[in-house]
Amino acid sequence: MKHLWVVILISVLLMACALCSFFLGRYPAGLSDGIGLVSWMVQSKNPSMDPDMRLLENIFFNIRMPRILGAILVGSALSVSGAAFQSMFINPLVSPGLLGVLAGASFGAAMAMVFFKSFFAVQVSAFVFGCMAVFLSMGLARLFKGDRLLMLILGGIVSGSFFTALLSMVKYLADPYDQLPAIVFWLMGGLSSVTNQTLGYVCVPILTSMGILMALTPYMNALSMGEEEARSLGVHVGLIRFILIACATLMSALTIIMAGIIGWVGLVVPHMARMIVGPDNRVLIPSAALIGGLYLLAMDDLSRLVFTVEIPLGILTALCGIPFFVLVLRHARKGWG
Amino acid sequence: MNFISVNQVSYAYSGTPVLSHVSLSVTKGDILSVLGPNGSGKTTLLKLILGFFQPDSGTVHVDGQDVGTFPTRMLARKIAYVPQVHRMAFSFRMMDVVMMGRIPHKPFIFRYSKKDKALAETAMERMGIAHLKDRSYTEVSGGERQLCLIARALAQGADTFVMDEPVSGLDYGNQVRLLTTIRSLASEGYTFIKTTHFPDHALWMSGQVLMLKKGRVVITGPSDDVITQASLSDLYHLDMDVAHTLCGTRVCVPDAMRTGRVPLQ
Amino acid sequence: MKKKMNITGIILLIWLIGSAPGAKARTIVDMAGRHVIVPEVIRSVYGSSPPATNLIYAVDPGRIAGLNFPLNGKDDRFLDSRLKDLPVAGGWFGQGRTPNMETLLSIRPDIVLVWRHTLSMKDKDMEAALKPLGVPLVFIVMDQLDDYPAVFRFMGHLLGDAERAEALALYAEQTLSRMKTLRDSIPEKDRVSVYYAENNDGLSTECTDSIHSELIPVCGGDNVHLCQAASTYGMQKISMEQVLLYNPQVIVTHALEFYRHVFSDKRWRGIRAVNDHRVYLIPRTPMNWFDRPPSFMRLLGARWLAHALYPRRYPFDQDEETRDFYSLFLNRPLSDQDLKDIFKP
Repeated sequence: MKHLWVVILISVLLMACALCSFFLGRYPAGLSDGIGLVSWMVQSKNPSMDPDMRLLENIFFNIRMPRILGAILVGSALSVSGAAFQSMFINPLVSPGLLGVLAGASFGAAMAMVFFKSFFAVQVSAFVFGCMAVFLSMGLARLFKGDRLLMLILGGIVSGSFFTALLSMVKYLADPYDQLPAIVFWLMGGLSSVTNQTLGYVCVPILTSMGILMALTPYMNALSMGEEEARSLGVHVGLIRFILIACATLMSALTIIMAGIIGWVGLVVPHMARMIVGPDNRVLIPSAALIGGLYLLAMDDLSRLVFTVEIPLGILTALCGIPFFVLVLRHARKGWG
Repeated sequence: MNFISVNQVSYAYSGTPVLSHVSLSVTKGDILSVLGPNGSGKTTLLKLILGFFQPDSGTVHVDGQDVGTFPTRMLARKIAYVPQVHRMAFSFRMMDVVMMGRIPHKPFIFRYSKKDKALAETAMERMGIAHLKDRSYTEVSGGERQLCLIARALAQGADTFVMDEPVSGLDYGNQVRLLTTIRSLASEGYTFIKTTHFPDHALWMSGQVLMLKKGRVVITGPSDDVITQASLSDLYHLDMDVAHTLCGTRVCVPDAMRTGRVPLQ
Repeated sequence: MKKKMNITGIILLIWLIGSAPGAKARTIVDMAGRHVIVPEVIRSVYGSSPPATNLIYAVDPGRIAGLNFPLNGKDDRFLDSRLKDLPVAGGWFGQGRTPNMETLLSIRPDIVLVWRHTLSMKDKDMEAALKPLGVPLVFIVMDQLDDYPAVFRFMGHLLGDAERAEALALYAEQTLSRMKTLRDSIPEKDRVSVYYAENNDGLSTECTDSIHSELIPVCGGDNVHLCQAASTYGMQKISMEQVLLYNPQVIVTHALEFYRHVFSDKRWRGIRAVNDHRVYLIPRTPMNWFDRPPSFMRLLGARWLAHALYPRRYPFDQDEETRDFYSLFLNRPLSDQDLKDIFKP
C-alpha cells in the first residue's frame, strides 16, 4: 500500500505542475489574468466580446492548454510504451524505438515534407511509415528460426537502419533552403505545433492503448520471466506480445505526430519509475505514465521559459535524461531497481 | 491410468534428429528422473511434455488428452514448469513471482483477488519462505529462489511439476533440502518429471529413471533396478561402480576417482 | 595500334598545355584584396555555394560550370535551359556539405568563385580542399545588399562583360537609393514592426542583425526579434507567446504551409498582422526574393517588401516591375500566366 501513496503523490504533483504551467509563459499572463478570465466567463460573458479577454482566452486555451496537455500525453505515452517494451523484451535498455517506429516515422515525415508539404500529410505519413517499420521488423523476425525475442530485436535493428538510411537519402535530396531545415527542425521534436484539434483526434487512441496496456500488466510480469516460463504459466505469449507491440507502436507513432522525435523519455522514465515503485508492472506502468507526463511537462516548461530562444524539446530531454541514465547504469548490476 | 504418457515420440531440430521413438509413462505421485549425457535430448523431452514443441511423430498425452490440443491456460493448470534458478532482469518481490502462478485460473483481463493472495501465501508457507514474501527475488539465496519457484508451481494448482536440472546452481545443503522437499511433495501425490546429471540423486529419490542417449531411450524402470554399474558405464562412457554405503543407500563411484586416470571421451 | 595511342597522347598533351591557365593569364585583385592569376578569357566558373552561383547566373548563365544542388523541376521553365545539362557538383553551404571533388575535377572550371563570409571561418578549409584542383579561387564579398553594385562591377571586370554588369549594378544602386529615401522619410513612430516567420509552424525566425532578414531594416521595417544572430545559419526557434508579445504589424514568410494556415489557426488570432490581413508570402520563383539563399533577387524583393510595408509611401507596380526585373536579370520575358504563377500562394 506504500506504492498507492506514491502514486497519489505523483498525481498531485502532476496536477500542481500542470496548473502552474497554465500561468507561466513568455507572455505576461499570470494567475490574476487567469482568475479574471474565469470570472468573466463565469458571468457567462463571451470572451470574444472584449479584446483583452479574447487575447487571454487565446493564450490560456489555444496556446498553453494544448501544449500542457500535449506534454503530459506525449510523456505518458512514451514512458508507458517504453516500460512495456522493457518488460516484454526482458531488457531494461530497450526504448520504444526498438522496433524501428521512430526511424520509420522520421522517414515518413521527411518524405511528406518533400513531396506533399501539407502538415496533415506529414502527420499521416509519419504514422503510416512508423507502423510499417514495426511490421517490417516483425516480418523479418518471422523469416528466421531461433529465439523470438532476439529475432525481433535484430529485425528492429535491420528495419530501423533501413529507414534511417532512407531518411538520409531524403535529406540529401531535399531542397537545402526550403525543405531540409523543416526536416531537421521536425526531427528535433517539440510541442509548439500541438493544437487542440490535433489533441482531439490523437488522445482517444493513445488513452485506449494505454488502458489496454494497463489491463495487461500481470502478463507483462510473466513475460519478463522469459517466453517459455510465461507460456508454462498459461500466458498466450504470441497473442499478448502482439497486442503489446501494437499498442506501444500506436502510442509512440501518435506521439511523433504531435511532437516529432522526442528521445530518452521512453528509456529513462521507466527507470525512474522502477527506482521509486519497483519493477512490478501493475504499479510500474501507471507510475511511469504519471512520471512521464510530469517529466515532459517540466522539460517543456524549461524549454519555453528559460531562454528567449526555444530549445528544441528533443534536445532538452536528451540532455537531462543522459545524466540520469548514467546514474541508473551504476545500479545496473543490482537487478534493475 | 497413466497421468502422462509419451508414445513413440520423434523430434528433429532444423533437420538434426534430437529424439527418436521415445516412450515413457508416469503415474500420479511418481518421481521420474531423466538421466543422460549432454546433448542427449533431456531438455527437449521436457519441452515436448510442456507443449512448447510439437513432436514430429508420436504423441504426448496429459490426463488422457493430447498436449497439442490443450489451450495454454488449461495445460498450465495441470503441469507446472519449475525452471532452473535464474538471474532475473527485474527484481520482482518474491510474492509477485508466486502470484504469477494464479494466471491460468483468471479470466483474460483480471486483477488478483484476495483468494489469489491467500493461495500464494499458503504456498509460500508450505515452502517455508513466507517470511521472505516482501523481499526481492534478486536478493535472496539460490535455494530460496528455487523454493519460490516451487511455491509458484503450487499456487498454480498443477499436480505435475516439470523441472530441468533443479539442483544446478545450488550448494550441497540446498541440493539436499530441495530433493527432500520433492520427495515429501511426491508423497502427497504430486508428480515430478525432472532431468538430472547426478545418478545419485535419482537413487535418493527412489522413483522411476529414464536413461536417454543420443535421443533414444536406453533403459527405463525403477531407480534401484535401472541404475547399475553396466547401465551407467554405458551411458556416460565411464567405468563406474555402484556401492552400498553403511547406512544402506547406494552411491555411484567413478573408477577414475580410484585410479586417478583421466577417462577417455 | 601503339602508334595511334602515341598520337592521341600527343594531341591530348597539346590540348592540355593550350588550356592550362598559364597560357594566357592576367592578374586580378579579388574582393578580398588577394592577387589572383586567372585566365585571360574565363569560360566556365564554379560557384562554391548557391549565392555565388546565382551571381554568375545573373551575369551570364552560360558560364556556370556546375550546380550546387539539383534543379527542383517546378521552376525550371524560368531558368536557362542550359542549366539542365550541367553536372551537380555540390558545394559549401552549411550542414557540413562539401562538393564532390571528382565531379569538380571532371568539369575543370577556369575559376572557382567563393562568397567570402565575414562571419565564416571556413575559407581556409575551402582553400585547402581546392588546392589539388589547381584552379584559382576568386573571393567576392556580398554580405550586405549595399555590396551588390560593387560585386556586379567586379564580375563584369572578371568575366569581361562590363556593359551588362554595369546595367545590373545600376539597377542595384537605384534600388538602394530608393530604399534609403524611403527609410529617411519615415519618422521613428511610423515604422512598421515586422516578424519574419520561417518553418511550417511559423515559429522560427531571424535576429535583427541576421543576413537572412536584412531586407526588413533595408525597407524601413523593424524586425521584432531583437537579438544578435548566434550563427550564420539562423532559424531560431521562438515560442507562440513570444510572437503574441511582439504583436507585429506585418508578417512575412516563405513557408507556404504556414501562410495557408495562419488565418484559420486560432492561436495566431489576435496578432495585429493577422487581424489586418498583413501576412505576406514571399515569392520564390525561380529563386527566393528575400532569403535562403540570399541572392540578387532581393533587389526586387526589397521593392516588393517596401510596398508591402508602406503601400502609400512606396508605390510599386508589381507586374510591371517584375517583368522588367526578370527580363533584365534573368533574361526571361514574363507572360501573364508566369506572373500569376509567381504570385500565387
